[in-house]
Amino acid sequence: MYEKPAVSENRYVKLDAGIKTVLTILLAVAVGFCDNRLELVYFSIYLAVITVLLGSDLRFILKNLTAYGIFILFPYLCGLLLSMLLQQFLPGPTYAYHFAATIIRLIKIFFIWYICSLYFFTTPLQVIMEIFYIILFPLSYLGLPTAKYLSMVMLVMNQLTSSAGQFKQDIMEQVRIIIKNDSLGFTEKLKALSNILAVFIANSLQHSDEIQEQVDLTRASDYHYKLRISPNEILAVLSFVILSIFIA
Amino acid sequence: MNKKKDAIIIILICNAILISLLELIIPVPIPVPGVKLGLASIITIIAIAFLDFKDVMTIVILRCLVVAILSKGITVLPFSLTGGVLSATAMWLLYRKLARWFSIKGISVVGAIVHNTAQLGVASLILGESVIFYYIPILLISAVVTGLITGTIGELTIGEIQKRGIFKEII
Repeated sequence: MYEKPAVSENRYVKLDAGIKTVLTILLAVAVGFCDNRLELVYFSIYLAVITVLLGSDLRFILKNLTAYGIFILFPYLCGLLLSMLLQQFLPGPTYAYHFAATIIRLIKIFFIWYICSLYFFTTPLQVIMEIFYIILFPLSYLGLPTAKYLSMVMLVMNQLTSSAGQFKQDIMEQVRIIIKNDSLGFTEKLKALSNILAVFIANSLQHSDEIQEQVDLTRASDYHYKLRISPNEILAVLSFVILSIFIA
Repeated sequence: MNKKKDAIIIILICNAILISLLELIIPVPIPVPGVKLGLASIITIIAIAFLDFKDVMTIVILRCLVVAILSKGITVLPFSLTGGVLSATAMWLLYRKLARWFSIKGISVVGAIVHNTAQLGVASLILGESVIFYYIPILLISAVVTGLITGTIGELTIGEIQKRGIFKEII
């Protein structure tokens, strides 16, 4: 039975990080140049093809749609409905609804949203941190210790990996018991929750020595990037050039 | 300079992210899509009470970055960063300059209002539509409710932390 290769084994996922980053940025910018529906259709086809090639799946698309819906779509639709309601009851200049333009804009924003998410979904964490280091490196001339902050981000993620299981077993279970306890009033539940959190924070701070040692060991040379060009990179760039011809 | 400051920041960021997992089991009093309790702001309030402004900002910014990377949703970063930075700044100002007039609960409510409004502002900028601001009344009501809940928990937790002298031993 055919088994879809894991994302990390996909050869297009292993595209050179720098080229992949530049292409992602160019794609996001190119969305802005789509002026009509046909160009948006070309873009949709291109995104569908790279989604399949990069080994992403329907769940990823739905997750993106949900986040996009919560931050952009739902507030806009609610705002629109409320404004229409208010204008029925309150006199004054009517709001001009540019539906066609707004819908195209909504689609373009979703495409940018999707392109960025696709990039992060298909790029290993260490590679993302190396790209962040390169992008944020100029800030180090202003005195910002970018390597240290990026290593703190990595340490946070390592800490989360090691402590999330224990947290779910202990703390979440205690909180679940409190929430389900009908004999406790609302204020008592909040007090119990605060006690749990205070103990949790106190216990977590006991590991500060070993974590500080790991921060002190950070070196800028931990982040290194070397440009690599192979047929896959050339193919990716060519595909973008062809898309640009269609939408130009 | 306190050598363990970086470790404390890392631990507090982890705590903020882990505590926000509790939102999966604590019911939200306002059944509106996208409205969350915002339990991570409890850690922001704790940081404001015990650390300086630079450390608070570091916690907020790095936490937003970690969550964006972990959830593969870097595009929510403008929303979370704007909301987080502005609300933390507002809360810090109220706590340090106007503590006479505002309790922790009040500060938390203001933080929630600023957070929601800022995120709506970013959405409006991105969409180029001001009609989105008609959604503000719903967000303000949810901010007051969730801000009161997290402020109450934050106030009680700060009291417990002060009683145990947790940060005194480290800072």
